[in-house]
Amino acid sequence: MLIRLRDSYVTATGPIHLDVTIGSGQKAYVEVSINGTPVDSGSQIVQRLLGGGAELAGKRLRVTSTVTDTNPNTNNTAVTYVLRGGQSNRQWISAHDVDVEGGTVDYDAIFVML
Amino acid sequence: MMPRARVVNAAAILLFTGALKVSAQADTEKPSTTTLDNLKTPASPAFELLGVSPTAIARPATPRALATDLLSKSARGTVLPNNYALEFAPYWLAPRRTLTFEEYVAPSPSQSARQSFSVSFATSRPDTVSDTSSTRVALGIRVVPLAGHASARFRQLLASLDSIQRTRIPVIQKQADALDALDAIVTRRAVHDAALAAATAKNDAVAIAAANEAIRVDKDEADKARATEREAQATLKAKADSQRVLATAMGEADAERRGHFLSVAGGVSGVFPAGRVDGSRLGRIGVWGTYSYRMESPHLDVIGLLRFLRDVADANQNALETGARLLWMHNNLGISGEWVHRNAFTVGAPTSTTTGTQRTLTFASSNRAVGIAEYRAADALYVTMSFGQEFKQLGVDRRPLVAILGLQLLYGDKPAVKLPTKS
Repeated sequence: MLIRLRDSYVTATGPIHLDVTIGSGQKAYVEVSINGTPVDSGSQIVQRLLGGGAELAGKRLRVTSTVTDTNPNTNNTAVTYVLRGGQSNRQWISAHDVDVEGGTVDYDAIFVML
Repeated sequence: MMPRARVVNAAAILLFTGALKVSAQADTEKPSTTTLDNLKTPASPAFELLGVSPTAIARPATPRALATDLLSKSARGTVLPNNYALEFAPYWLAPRRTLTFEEYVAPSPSQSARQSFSVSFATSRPDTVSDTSSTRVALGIRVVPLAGHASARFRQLLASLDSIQRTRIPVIQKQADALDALDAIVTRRAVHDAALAAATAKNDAVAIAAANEAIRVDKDEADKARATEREAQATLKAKADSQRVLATAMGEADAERRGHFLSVAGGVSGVFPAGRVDGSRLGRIGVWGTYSYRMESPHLDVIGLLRFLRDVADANQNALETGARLLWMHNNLGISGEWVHRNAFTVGAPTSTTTGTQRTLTFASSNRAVGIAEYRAADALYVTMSFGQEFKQLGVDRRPLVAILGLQLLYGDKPAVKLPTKS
């Protein structure tokens, strides 16, 4: 199962930070790339500095995550994206329940930086 | 003790030594059967207090499912459901979108308590035909503030899963790009169709040809995108199958956690004559506590337990018991020593005095100390030897001797009963 999120984010002059949180205690791997170049990866992304607003404007921020249901207490998987430092702070949440125990859900988010 | 195969116990042959003669003499008094395992904190205190092992347990995963189940089983809250068992973990009824994997697998004591807190509820009426028989109801809670840490095997499986997850990323992006391309083609198709309709209305042959060409190019692109998407999906599916196997193995390995463990439970039961609140009375109260420490190498387990039981109707059940066990395991050999101290008590009838109503409390204490050696001779064959002293029995000065040599034969490769899955 692939969940896609496509949106834009209006930058400002200050630095832009990204948080990606994988919820429900599930095991995940996240990769962050800007215009196709990976800039960070891990089980979650905490306060990642992406660059200055002017520098990022016009670029494409991509966050690709894969979440496996390793938590026997819930079948829920969720990815929360938070962008800070632009004209306003914004949060997006994508969630999906796996159909089978140990199932995997993939998430792909693309934010066009304006 | 030694890990058991997930099979039915086929046969147990117990050979009693001559020392059992002492026990046989006291057989007229039924010996206490409390062992260390009896004192362990139960997973479902309500079921333990009622002494039931329900085969159908409602385990709602959402507040709506919980409410629906309760309302349907109780005729919209008007009657007590009969022979009903419910168990749920309040923490997991709501989505936990900020709970990370690390916080869940290596929780702080407060987080561990939150995520392990469970409520059990059960009702039981032995005579289901008569409406006048009493319904027994029990409510229990359980919490695990200390849950140890992941075993080495769990960490190995985690590394393997992480490795596969990394390889998914470029394939996911390929699939997502193909789907984006298909979406764009669908959007463009409306524009091409409108252009074709306008050109046809004007009978503009050049514009018609251009619109048809654009539609043809998009169709070719769509075919390519679909093929790419199918290929990526097949690759991801194959990887997902491997991930599922690892996730299942991680679940099993999570049961082999190491370190400090603490679980606490409590419950209360009541008796409702004819299923009505009028004339209801207290049944049993139970409190359990289990602390253990498990080392990976050498494989050493230390466990301490406490159980308090108060039964209003049956004074023989009243007891405050404590126990401890030390277990050492090496290859196929397990050696353990366990000790249980039992403080049985009875609560006297209320008597009126000048200072008010009083009750007398009478205690009788006794110990059980047993050493156990267990050896796995083959995959399905265990040899067990126990030696020690049983609890002192009423009217007998000497304490019974425990001396048992046993053979345990297991058979079957797979569980006979399918394990329940999450709802």
